[in-house]
Amino acid sequence: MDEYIKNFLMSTAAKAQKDAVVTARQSGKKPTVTRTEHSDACKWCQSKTGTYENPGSDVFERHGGCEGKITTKGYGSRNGLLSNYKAGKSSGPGAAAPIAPDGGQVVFRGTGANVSAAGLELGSGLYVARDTATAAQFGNVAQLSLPLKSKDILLIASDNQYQKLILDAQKWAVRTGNSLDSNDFIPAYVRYLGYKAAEVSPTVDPLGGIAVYDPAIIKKLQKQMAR
Amino acid sequence: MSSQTQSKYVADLAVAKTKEFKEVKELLIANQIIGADAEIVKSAQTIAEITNALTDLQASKLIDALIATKEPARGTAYSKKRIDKVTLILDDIKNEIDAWDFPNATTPLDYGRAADMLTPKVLEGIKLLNNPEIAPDTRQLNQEIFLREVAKAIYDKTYEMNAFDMQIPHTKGDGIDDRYYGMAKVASNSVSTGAV
Repeated sequence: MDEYIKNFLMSTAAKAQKDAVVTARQSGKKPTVTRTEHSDACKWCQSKTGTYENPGSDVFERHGGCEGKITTKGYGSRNGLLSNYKAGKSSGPGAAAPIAPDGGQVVFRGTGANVSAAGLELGSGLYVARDTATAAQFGNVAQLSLPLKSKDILLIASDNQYQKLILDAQKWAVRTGNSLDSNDFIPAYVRYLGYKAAEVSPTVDPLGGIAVYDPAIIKKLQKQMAR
Repeated sequence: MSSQTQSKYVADLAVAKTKEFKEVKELLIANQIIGADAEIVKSAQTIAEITNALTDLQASKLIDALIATKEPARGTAYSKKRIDKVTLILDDIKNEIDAWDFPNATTPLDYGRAADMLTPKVLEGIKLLNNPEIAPDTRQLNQEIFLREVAKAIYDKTYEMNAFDMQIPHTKGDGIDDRYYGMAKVASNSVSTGAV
């Protein structure tokens, strides 16, 4: 039983590594996979050792009793960025966001449209800011509780990522026959991806903020604003 | 030597008709299918070891003996104390996974090794759920939930850390496969068929 469980647990981790490598490659990244085996591993497992840039799925398969090491390395591990990883909690957007008494994330909104000079970068939605200083650019500031988890918010952290999102959303709109107005297809595409909001990091646009798309969440925020 | 079909039938019957693996050994002796001093009875750790050592005639006799055995009365609900203990173990496992981190700024985690380190805790949870007084179906269902939760936590964390490393945050993997079903069945049946 011990060996079965070991293999089950290690194979589960290996599958996640495989899926991440596949997604990374599809996103134009070049992660590497290095597999090493003990000398007493079976012939098949021994034959899978090596370093790969485009590994087949068999590189991630494991036999019970052959407890080799599968190392997946990405861009970050070559640049010392791994120290930025926050263990013990989500490292996603808003991970360090203050939490309101009702469990939502603390955000701010000015009395104006809360849209930066660049316009509706993230399409139609209710825009809120992470900090008071940004919200203050749009009038008197109200503190709101955004009832979303970090995983519900798509973070746009770079200009390239933003351009890619627009391009992907445009292609998606054409393919699915959706509106070709960016104010419509960006929110629609982000929601299609499974997110309820999108956020532009301050490095892309200091006044970008978070665009909330989910109607139920917008309603809740509007209720708070009306108080 | 017993056939593969006989071996599988014996294993299925053992799960249905006995509460513990030692009862299968006792049946073999009580029905004089093998001598009490037979080496396989003493040393066998699994039902497969026993059926592999039986002739097809002996296997048929064991099948007859198992069919004639009355199905034991078993519960379909665990005690609250046992469930609480398993829940604590599961929480502990999840907390350990949640705390996984990169060893330093340039070295990725050895994910396989980190997952392997959870084995003792997972085995402890399986052992608690493998109460012989509980019906096999109930055991299996609970093992499925337990193993799925553990696998999902490992998968999500491993994917998240890799996504961070590979700069593809906000993406999601395909998720765990269905292996936990098979593992749950093996784990649950091991009460009557011995450790695999």
